[in-house]
Amino acid sequence: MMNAFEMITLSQGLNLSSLFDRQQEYVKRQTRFVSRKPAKTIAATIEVVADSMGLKVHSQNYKLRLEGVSSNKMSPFAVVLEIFEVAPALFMVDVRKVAGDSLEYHRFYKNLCSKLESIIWRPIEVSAKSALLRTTTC
Amino acid sequence: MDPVDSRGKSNNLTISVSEVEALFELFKSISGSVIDDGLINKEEFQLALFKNTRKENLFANRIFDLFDVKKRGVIDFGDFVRALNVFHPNFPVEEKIDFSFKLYDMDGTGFIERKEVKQMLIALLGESEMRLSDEIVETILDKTFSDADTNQDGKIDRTEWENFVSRNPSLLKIMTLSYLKDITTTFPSFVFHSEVDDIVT
Repeated sequence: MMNAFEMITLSQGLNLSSLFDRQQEYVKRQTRFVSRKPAKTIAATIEVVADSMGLKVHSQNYKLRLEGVSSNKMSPFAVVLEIFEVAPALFMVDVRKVAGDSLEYHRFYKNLCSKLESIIWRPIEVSAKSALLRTTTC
Repeated sequence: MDPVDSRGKSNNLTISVSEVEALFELFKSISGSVIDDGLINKEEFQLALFKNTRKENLFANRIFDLFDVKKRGVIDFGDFVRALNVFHPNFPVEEKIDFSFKLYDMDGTGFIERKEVKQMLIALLGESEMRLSDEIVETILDKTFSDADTNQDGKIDRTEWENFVSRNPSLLKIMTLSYLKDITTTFPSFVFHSEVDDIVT
């Protein structure tokens, strides 16, 4: 099970490698969502969805690498998803881009979230709020 | 350049001269992004990290405060190089552990208290737009403290932190920037400037 510090180290504020990235667009580089499904189910669902999106899947130990090409077919596109146990029967899936364009990643992530609806957990207070809030998170 | 840290100890630079020169290019780019005064202020730091000057972030603030050793609200080139030096792949692990301890000991009491970890965890959840109940947050904290706080006094001291990090080495991954090893290739447009010596304090 993940400890608090492992979660804290995921913060974008602690990722100083972005100091070296002199591009100017702001796109979230690290994205994550929560699920109450068993980890095996989460992994299996992701694999099926990735396959339907035309991505090649390599997985090992609840860490999945999805590979494909960018929409303009010119460059590689890859993301890594890691499944962590945050609390008993509560899992966090951390998604990050490892190759490809940030805007493309952003589009991919939104698409991924809509396809993973069945496994993403949204606490009651969130879904009771306006539809606007739902569209800004996964 | 022989930097002396706040404890009066001399830290030998792990970064080479040409790496320092390339770092200067990076420093110029960041420090000139909002006000061109040769200093990095909080806004410019936020811009460099998040590509957004208005993004307030607890962790970025902690990092900024640790870089800003002279407590002036700005980071000069000397501060920048000395602080980034700690993140070099070859820098001693003990110093990285020390930096990370200071990072999380937000009020500087010499202990990482449960309330501080709770505050940081909640900040991380907010940043990720994840909502977890207070009960779950407390469960995560209980588990963390039962692992790290060996004398069970509700806070993590320097020694407990060192032991905890040795058992969980991935916690130190934020303390190493492999870019620093390849920095001369990351900034190939660098041309040797003799002014570098004038500006470095």
